[in-house]
This record gives sequence, structure tokens and C-alpha cells, in this order.
Amino acid sequence: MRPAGRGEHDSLYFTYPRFAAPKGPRGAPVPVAIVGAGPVGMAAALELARHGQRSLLIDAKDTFNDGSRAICLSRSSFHILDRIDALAPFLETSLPWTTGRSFYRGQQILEFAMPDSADEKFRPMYNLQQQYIEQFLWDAIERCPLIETRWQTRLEGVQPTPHGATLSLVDPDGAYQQPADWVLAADGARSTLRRLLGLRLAGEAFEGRYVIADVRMAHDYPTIRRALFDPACRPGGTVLIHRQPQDLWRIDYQLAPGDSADDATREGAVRTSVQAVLDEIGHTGPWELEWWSVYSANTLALETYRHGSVVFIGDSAHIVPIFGVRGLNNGLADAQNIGWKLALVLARQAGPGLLDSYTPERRGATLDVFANASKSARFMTPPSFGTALMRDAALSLALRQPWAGALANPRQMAPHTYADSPLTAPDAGMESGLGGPVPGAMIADARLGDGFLSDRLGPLFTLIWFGTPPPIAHPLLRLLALPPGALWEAPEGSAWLIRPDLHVAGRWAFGDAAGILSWLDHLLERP
Amino acid sequence: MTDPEPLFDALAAHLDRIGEDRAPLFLAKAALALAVALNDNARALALLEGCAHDLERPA
Ligand SMILES: Cc1cc2nc3c(=O)[nH]c(=O)nc-3n(C[C@H](O)[C@H](O)[C@H](O)COP(=O)(O)OP(=O)(O)OC[C@H]3O[C@@H](n4cnc5c(N)ncnc54)[C@H](O)[C@@H]3O)c2cc1C
Repeated sequence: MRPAGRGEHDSLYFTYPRFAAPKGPRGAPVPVAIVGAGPVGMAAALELARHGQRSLLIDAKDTFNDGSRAICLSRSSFHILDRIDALAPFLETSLPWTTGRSFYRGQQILEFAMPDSADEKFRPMYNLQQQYIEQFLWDAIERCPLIETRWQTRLEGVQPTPHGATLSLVDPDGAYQQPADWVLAADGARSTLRRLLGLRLAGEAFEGRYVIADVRMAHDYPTIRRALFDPACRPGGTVLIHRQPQDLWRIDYQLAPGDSADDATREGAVRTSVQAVLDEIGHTGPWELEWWSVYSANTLALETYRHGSVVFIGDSAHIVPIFGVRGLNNGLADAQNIGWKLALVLARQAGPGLLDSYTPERRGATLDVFANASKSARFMTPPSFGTALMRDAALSLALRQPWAGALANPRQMAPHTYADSPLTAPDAGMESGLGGPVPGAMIADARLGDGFLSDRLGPLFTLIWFGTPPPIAHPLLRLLALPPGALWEAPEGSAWLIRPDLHVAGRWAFGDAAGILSWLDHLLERP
Repeated sequence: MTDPEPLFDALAAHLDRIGEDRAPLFLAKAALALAVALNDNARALALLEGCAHDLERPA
């Protein structure tokens, strides 16, 4: 929502583009149709294109999503942006951060730093308004001849066929049928495809709604996330404050259980609430209200993310609470995960069984977020009398005892480890005391010479071999030979197989080249 | 075993001063801090479990 007199896309600082309705021929079959050109759909199109696969991207709107919405991009998302060649403007524009501070009744009780080091190419977190995220992804799409985008095109029906699905699409010129071999449902939290296929999200709704408001002001505070528990401006509630580029500040404040969302989101009420927060943090200067919305803390997901030739990615598959900052980050990881797998299947480099790993891997990541979110929710929106009392006890103790402050640590999460994935090799490193990343984990980056390990990895699989490698050749594999001990204290002859999404497919203390190649062919179901 | 008398008296004095309204918060803080100081979660949990009994007047 925006202040009276300003339209949905009248931003103080961002000019929304207007995309014309499609003109060219339409209806010719496509290998992949992506429904929804939000950040997740765009990232999926770019991942497919990176591996040489065409896609058709459609969106009902004629511009980007209104409002700044998701503003925290994680390190793992920056690795995705790097690999789809969209990174440069993100690095130029966003604000990196590592530190969070928590306050209880005005006093600081905790400062935490997320893990970071000179071995990492990217910082743990970057703040950037979602419309810039969409703009920069769109700029990459415009450079890419393999992606056809049709704006102002709404999906209204879907009909499964023996080799895919036929979509019923409507644009300003009328309705038509669009066949596709595969459909990626990136159509957001209110997914039309989910409804058309009769699927429901299941999970829990937490008590706890937040108003999220963006204000523009000259405010002198570093890019540090502030969490205010039980502040004078919102007794009993929680307030979060984030800095964004362009002198924009995100203020999230919690509504009390009895508050009506309609009343709380009226402009006057938002202005009063924001002013109270600004008074609390000592901002005395002027400020302008840019945009606001209301958001609740649900943990909801589909049981299965893939239904035949239709695969759900992003918010259409899962809704997670905002304070874990995983909604968009997880969606981007979905896009990358299905993107490389589908690209290999389309190129006939892998069997369709490869796609069976998508749900366990990405739904597993969502369930991880849920478990973590319930822990955060205990502090943000205590669900019971007992939890509320113990939260207050911990916060009150934290004023004098640091161990209690750690209970309030929001635990910004590391990427999920695909330990139980069918693509993860049984660990052949454990008993021999091998260090380094375990099978299923996303690798941590490392300095190598002038650059980083992540820069040296191939577009698909990479075999990192420590010592003199055996002669090894595979069309999907890059070999990276490193001296023993160059990373992870890896001994002579040990090997790690890294997937296109930087997760470890397997590790071996005594690499056997033929065995590793046959494992790779097995997991890809190569003939 | 330590002499419980001074602990009993000190808790009573704190509770008198703090008053009924704030007593739950004080007791919750005290229980958590003491349980952590014990540095033995199994024992702390067993003691808490024990304290959860016999809170009602017998019928
Ligand atoms: C008001 C609001 C505030 C938010 N605030 C935060 C926040 O503070 N922090 C946070 O982490 N996350 C926030 N989120 C969530 C975050 O925006 C999403 O996680 C992210 O946008 C997910 O991206 P997506 O691409 O999956 O879906 P979306 O961005 O929702 O994109 C879906 C796209 O599909 C299109 N579409 C839908 N139906 C059809 C159809 N039938 N035919 C054609 N196209 C269709 C839509 O036009 C849209 O462009 C917020 C979301 C909303 C709505």
C-alpha cells in the first residue's frame, strides 16, 4: 500500500517499467513454460538458459511486483546470481551486512555476527529492495536470446497431456492454447496452478502478524539488523529495523493479537506507529512514507513439489515466516535446483528420474526453515502463556547474563544439507577421518590464488582431485586438480564431486576414478 | 546437603518486595538461571519435573 494520492507503482525512488502485450506468434510448443515472472521464475529461466535450454516465461502483470517485499539476499543466493551471470548490479547496489543487534526494553542484550571470512567471496547477507532484484534479473533476461517473455499473459487453465501439459493463456488479444513439455509453477503464494491442480498447502499458521513499512530518511546507523523486544513504542511486541540502499529503511512491527489488520494498515495508523519506532531509536529528522504491507508468520508447504510435468518453485510451493529471511532465498535455490536438473533431462544428458530428487531436496530445505522458524517464532511471537513468560525471563536475564541473550539469536540459517537425497553418495570419507564438506552440504568458498574456489568450478559437475589426477573424461565434468592440503586438509588422492549448485555429491578419501564416474552416471540415470 | 534455610528466607524476601504481579517473571528468571548454573541438564530437568507435582490442594 502507498500513501493517499499515490498509485500502486508510484515509488519515491524507483520507476516501474511498463511491458507491452506480446505481439509475435504464440501457441507453438515449447520445451519449458514458466508461469510467473517474479524473482523465482526469472531465476529459473536464467538457470535453464545457462545450460543452453530455451524457455517461455509468462506473467499476468505488465511490470514488476509492487513494493520492496523481500529485502535480504543470502550468500548462497549471491552464488546463484553469480552462476547465472546476473551478479554485477547486485554487488554494486546492495548493502552487505554481517551483524545483528537485539534490544530488550531499550537496552542492548545481544550482538551477533554471522560467519564470515576472507575465504568467502560473498558476505553472509545483502539488503536490496525486491524491485531491484527483479530489475537486475530482468536485465539479465533481456540479454538472453534463449528466453521468450510474454507479459500481460494470464494462465487460466492447464490440461495434462501424455508428454507435458497444455496451458490456457489469455492476453489482450484473446485466449490461446500453449503446449509445453514441462511447466514450472512460479506463480507465487496465490498460485493459480496449485488451485487448478487441486493442491493445498499444509502446515501451521503462527499467531503473529507484522506490518512492514518502508520509509525514506537520512538516518545514521550502519547496516546492522536491529531487533527490539518489548520496546516502549510497542509494549509486548517486536520491531525489526533494516537498512536498504537509497536511504530507505524497513521497519517491521508486530501487531497485538487483538489488533485488526484493516485498522493497523490505514495510513494514519502506520504513520503513528512508524513515528513511535523512530522516536524510540532517536531519529528526530523528517521521513517520508514509501510503502507498507501486512505479513503473517505461516509455515505452509505442498506435500510434493512435482506433479507430473508441473513443478512448483518459490512461494507457490512454500510460505515461510519473514523473520527467517528464507522465503525468497529458498525460492531462488528451488529455481537453481530444478533448473540444472531439467536442463540435463532436456538435453538427454540425464534420465527423467533425476527430477525425483527435487522434492526431497527442496522440501527438505523448507522443513528445515520451518523447524528454525518455530524457534524464532518462540521469541518473536510467543505462542503460549508459558513461552511468553520464559521469553520475558530470558530477555530480562540477558540484560546481565550473555548466555541468555544467545536464546534470542535469530539463527540466520546456513543452506540445507541434502543428506538424505538420492543424489548424495554414501559417505566414503567419514571413517577415514576426512575433513571438509560432507556429502549433501553446500561447500564453503575458499581463497585459491587470486580468486575463489567457486570461480574455478565448471558449469555442471566438478571433480576436485587432490594430488595428481588419473586421466578422467566425462562430458558433464570439469576436473580441478589441487595440491594435497590446498583445501580442507585434504590428503593425497582424496576427491570431492561438486554439483552444479555447489552441493557435494560425494567425497572419497581414496578416489577411484572409474568408481566416481560410474556413480555420476548412475545418479544421472545416464544410459 | 546445603542448608536450605537462607535460600528459603531470601526467596521469601525477594517475593515480598517484588509483589504478586511480578512474581512469575522473577521465579521464571530464577529457575532458568539456577538450572543453567547447575550445568547438568538431566538433573535440572528432573528437578523441574519434580516441582511440577503436588501443586493442587488434595481433594
Ligand atoms: C506484500 C508482500 C510482502 C512481502 N514481504 C516480504 C518480506 O518482508 N521479506 C521476505 O523475505 N519476503 C517477503 N515477501 C515474500 C517475497 O516477496 C516472496 O518470497 C517472493 O516474491 C517469492 O517470489 P516468487 O517468484 O516465488 O513469487 P512472486 O514474487 O509472488 O511472483 C509470482 C508471479 O506470478 C505471477 N502470476 C501469478 N498468477 C499468475 C497467473 N495465473 N498467470 C500468470 N502469471 C501469474 C504474478 O504476477 C507474479 O509476478 C512478501 C510478499 C508479499 C506479497
